[in-house]
Amino acid sequence: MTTLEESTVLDTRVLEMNMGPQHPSTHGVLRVKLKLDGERVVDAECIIGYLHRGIEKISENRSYIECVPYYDRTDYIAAVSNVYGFLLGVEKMMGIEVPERGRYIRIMMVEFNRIASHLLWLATHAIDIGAMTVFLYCFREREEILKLFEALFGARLTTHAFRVGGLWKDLPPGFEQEARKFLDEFPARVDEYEQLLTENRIWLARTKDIGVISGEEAIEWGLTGPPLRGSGVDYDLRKAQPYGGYEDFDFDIPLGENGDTYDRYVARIEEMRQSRRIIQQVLERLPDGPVRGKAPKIVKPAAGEYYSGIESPRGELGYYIVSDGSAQPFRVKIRPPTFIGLQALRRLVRGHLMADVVAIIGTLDIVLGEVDR
Amino acid sequence: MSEEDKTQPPESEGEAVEKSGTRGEPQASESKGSEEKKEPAQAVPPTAAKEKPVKPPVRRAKKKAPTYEDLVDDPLLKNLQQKFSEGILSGQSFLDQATYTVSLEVLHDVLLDLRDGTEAQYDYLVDLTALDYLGDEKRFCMVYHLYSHSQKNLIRLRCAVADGESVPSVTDVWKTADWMEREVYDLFGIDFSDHPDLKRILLPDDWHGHPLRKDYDIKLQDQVWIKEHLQIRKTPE
Repeated sequence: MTTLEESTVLDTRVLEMNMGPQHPSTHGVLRVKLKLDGERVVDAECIIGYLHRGIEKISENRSYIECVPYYDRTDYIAAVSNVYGFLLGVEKMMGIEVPERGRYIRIMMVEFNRIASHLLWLATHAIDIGAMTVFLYCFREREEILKLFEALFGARLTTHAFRVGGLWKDLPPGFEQEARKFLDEFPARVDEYEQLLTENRIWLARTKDIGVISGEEAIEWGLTGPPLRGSGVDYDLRKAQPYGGYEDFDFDIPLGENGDTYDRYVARIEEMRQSRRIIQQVLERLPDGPVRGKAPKIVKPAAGEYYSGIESPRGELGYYIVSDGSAQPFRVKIRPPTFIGLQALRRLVRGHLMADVVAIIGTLDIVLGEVDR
Repeated sequence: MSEEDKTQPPESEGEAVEKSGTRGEPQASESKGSEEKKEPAQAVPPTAAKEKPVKPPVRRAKKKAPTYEDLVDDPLLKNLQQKFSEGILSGQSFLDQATYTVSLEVLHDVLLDLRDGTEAQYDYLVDLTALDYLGDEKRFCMVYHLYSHSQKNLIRLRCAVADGESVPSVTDVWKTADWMEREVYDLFGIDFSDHPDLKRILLPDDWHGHPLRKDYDIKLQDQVWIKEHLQIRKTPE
C-alpha cells in the first residue's frame, strides 16, 4: 500500500510507442506511433510510405496498355478489381464496347475477387483478435478461388485479369462446373465462420462498441466500402453509379447500425453472400459470343479527362485519367480507398485500449500496397 | 508481340489522325505497319504524299471523339455564378462529367458553399489531386472531385495555381482532405495554407524534389538521400 504522498510523486507520463512497421497485425509495413496513457490510447499517428513505388509516375511513362499490370500491384489482394476500374475508364474515354459475355465474365471475376479478398480479411482479422481456426478455414476457401483465377488468367495473385475491350480469352473448359461447385459449397462455409464468431462471447467483447463512428463522420473522413456501410450509409457504387453491367443483377447492400467493428464484420460477411448471388446470376444468364470487343492496337484516348470509380472490396476505388491525346496517359490519379480510410484510424482508436488498435486496423481492411502505391 | 497486337484492325490510326487534325490524309489509311513508323510520318507536310489516293474515312464516321461541351441550363453553375460572379470561370462537361473551373481567390468559399450552401450538399470529397501543365503561365491545376449523397451526383472542380502560390487548405471543410493535401504537397510541391500538419507523406521527410512534377525525370533519384540512408556509395549518375 502506498500512501497518498508517495503516489502523487509517481510519474505518469504519456508513453510514446511504435507499432510496426514490422508488426504482423499491421498487415504490411504500416507504422503507427501510439501515445499511451497506461493502456489507453491518447493519440495515434500513422507513418506510411515504406512501400511507395511511384506507380502514378510510372503510369505517365508507359502506354495505357502497359500501365495495366502495374495496377495489379497496388492492391494485390484485389488485383482483378484494380485492373477493372482503370479499364472501364479507358474504354469509356475511347468509346469501346465490351460484348455482353465479356462484361458478364468480368463481373463474375470481380465478385470472386471480392469474396477472396473478404476471406483474407476475415482470416487475418480473426487471427489478430485470437481466433485461430477461422484463419485456416478461410484460406481453404480462398484457395479454391485462386485456382479459378489460375485457370482463367494464368496467375493467382497479380492476375492482369482484363484487357482493353474485354478479356484475353474465354473461360477454359470445366471452369463453369468448378465455379458452380464452389458456389454450392460456399454458403455452408460462411455459416461455419459465423458459428465460430458471430455469437462467440470473446468475439463480441472484442468487436462490439470498438471503433464506433457515425455515418456523418464516416463521410467526413472519406470512409467508403464496408466501413461506411457499417455506419448505416447506403453508398455502394455498384448501385449508386452502376458501371459495367451491374444494373442487370439483383443484390442487396448490407448496412450496419452502430458503426462499430462488429457491424463492419457483419456487413462484410453478408457481402460475401451477396457476391455469391451475383455470380450465380451471371452463370445462369451467361450469353454466348465473343469476350473481347473491337479495340484498337494502340490505345489513344482523345484529349480529356474521366473519373472512373468502382466498388472495390475495400471501398471506392477511383481512377482519374487525364489524356493529352498521346499514347501515354498525362496523369493517372488512383484514389485508393484504404489510403483515405486509414486517416480515420487516428479518430477510431482514441480512448481505446492498446489491444483494440489491432482490431481496428483489421476492421479497416488496409492493404499497404494500395496505401503507399 | 503481346496479345493486344494480334487481332485488332488498325483503328488506332483513325484516332491518331483525328487528333493531329490531318484527317483524311493518305498516310492515315495507308499502312498496317508499326506505330513508330507512323509518328514521324505525320510531321511530313501534306504535299509530300499527295499522289496516293485518299480513302474515305469510313470507320471514323461512326465513332466520334468526345469533346468538352459548355454546360447549358445547369442549375449549379447558375447558382455559383450568382454567388461568386467572376470567380467561376467556366462550366463544361466531358463524357457526362461536369467540370467547373474556378479562380484561386474563391476556391475555398466555393467548396464550402458546395458542402453547406447549395441544395445538392456535396458532402463527400471523393478525391483531391493536382496536375502539372509544365510551360503554362499557371503551372499547376488543382482538381477536386465531389459527390453528393442526396443527389447521387459527382462533379469536378478545377483551379489553376501558379508555381509558388499557396492553395487554401480544405481540411476545415472535410477532414479527409488532410492526407490528400499532404500527398499533393509531397509529390507536386504545392503549398497549402492553414493545413494543420503539412509534411511529406509517401516519401521520406528529407527527400529533395517532387516526383510527379513533369520536369522530374522518371529515373531521377535523390542521390544524397540514397547515399546517406541506404549506404550505397556509388550511385549511377
